[in-house]
Amino acid sequence: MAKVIETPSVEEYLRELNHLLRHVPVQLRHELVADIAEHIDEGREQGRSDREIVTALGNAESVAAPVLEEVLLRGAAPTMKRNRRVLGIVAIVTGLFAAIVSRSSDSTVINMTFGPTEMQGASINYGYSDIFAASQLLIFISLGLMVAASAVMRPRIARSYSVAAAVVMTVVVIICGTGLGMFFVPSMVAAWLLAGVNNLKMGADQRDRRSRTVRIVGGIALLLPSSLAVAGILSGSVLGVGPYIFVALGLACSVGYLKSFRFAQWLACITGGLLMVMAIIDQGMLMAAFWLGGIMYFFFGLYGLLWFSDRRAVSTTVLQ
Amino acid sequence: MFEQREKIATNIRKGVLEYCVLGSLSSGDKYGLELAEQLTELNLTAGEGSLYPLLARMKAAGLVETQWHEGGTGRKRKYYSITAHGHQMLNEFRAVWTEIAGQVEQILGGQNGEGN
Repeated sequence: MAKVIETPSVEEYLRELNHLLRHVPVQLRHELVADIAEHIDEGREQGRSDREIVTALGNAESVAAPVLEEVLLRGAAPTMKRNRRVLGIVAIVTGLFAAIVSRSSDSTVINMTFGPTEMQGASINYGYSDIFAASQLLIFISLGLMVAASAVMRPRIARSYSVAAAVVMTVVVIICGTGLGMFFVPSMVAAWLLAGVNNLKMGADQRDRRSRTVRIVGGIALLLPSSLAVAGILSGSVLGVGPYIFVALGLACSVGYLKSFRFAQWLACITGGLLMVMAIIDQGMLMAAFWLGGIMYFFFGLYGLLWFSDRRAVSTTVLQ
Repeated sequence: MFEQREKIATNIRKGVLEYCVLGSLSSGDKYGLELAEQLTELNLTAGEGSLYPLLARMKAAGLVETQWHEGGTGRKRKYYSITAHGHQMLNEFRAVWTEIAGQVEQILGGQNGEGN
């Protein structure tokens, strides 16, 4: 069949360009389409025919190509690559952790009716058959791997994939409920962070604005657990030096975080990790509170480490 | 033969187009179509459309800025003008261009060329 090359109409041309630029930050996309539209109007006023104008513009692909290339390059920039890698590792570790904890957490497994209730025992398999235990563990681990996979995907596929993975994780958390679901919260947060890092449509300005919001929200949120500890100290319901240390720690994290200090981000990250581990080892009364508080500290810290420094890196590359 | 010549020319133009835009704007502000027509006439760009992504990038890099002025027809037009940083980059380019042109000329052995 012979290929017929037709000059598209002005409207078709603009529509095609707009479609080609769908992965580009919205503001830039609108500006470019508006520029070309103005170019066309101007040409018409000067008596050029639509056909002449469109031919002179060159095909829409060649107009969009340099912009798309730049966006993809930004996605492949060292900080972006690093952030995806770090989040990929976090997703695997949190996924593995969730899988092991949920497998070994007797009551919650039984609550989920993932096995015969009468077969409770001291072993980690609770007397289930090895195959049953192993496949259950595999299913749980596969969730973590599913989330982590987007870290090594091609940027354009990674975007839709990571959003889908984050939605699946959110559904898992909701379905599993407060017992088992809690352990998948870190995986879920990691999944949403990966969805964010894979969003190439987000321009540098937008990321800066978001970082500012996270910094303020994070600074306040990091202070909340220590305000509870203060209440505990004042009412006399908690004893010992522990609460005092925690108040100091929370205060340092919060103020440092608001000021965008690197040490505070590390401190929040490490405190969060320790709180999560403590929650699992202790399995005490406040297990859920420690666990969720730990998640909060860890991820606010991580976000700061990944993105707040990125701002500085971006501004120096612009200056160069 | 013509195809190869075109390929060489395209590659070279790609590297200099940005500075040609700066050069053109250094003699006065221009709106998009005006700039596009000039560059197409001089055969410096193949498609007029590809000029706009370039201008957007140059604007983001602080080489050019835009203002809306009323043109002759009474319609508001987006005029591009060169910034101080743009002038600086243009001067740098001039120095580099003169240097490279001299070096290339030297190795190619003048207009007639020594080796075919």
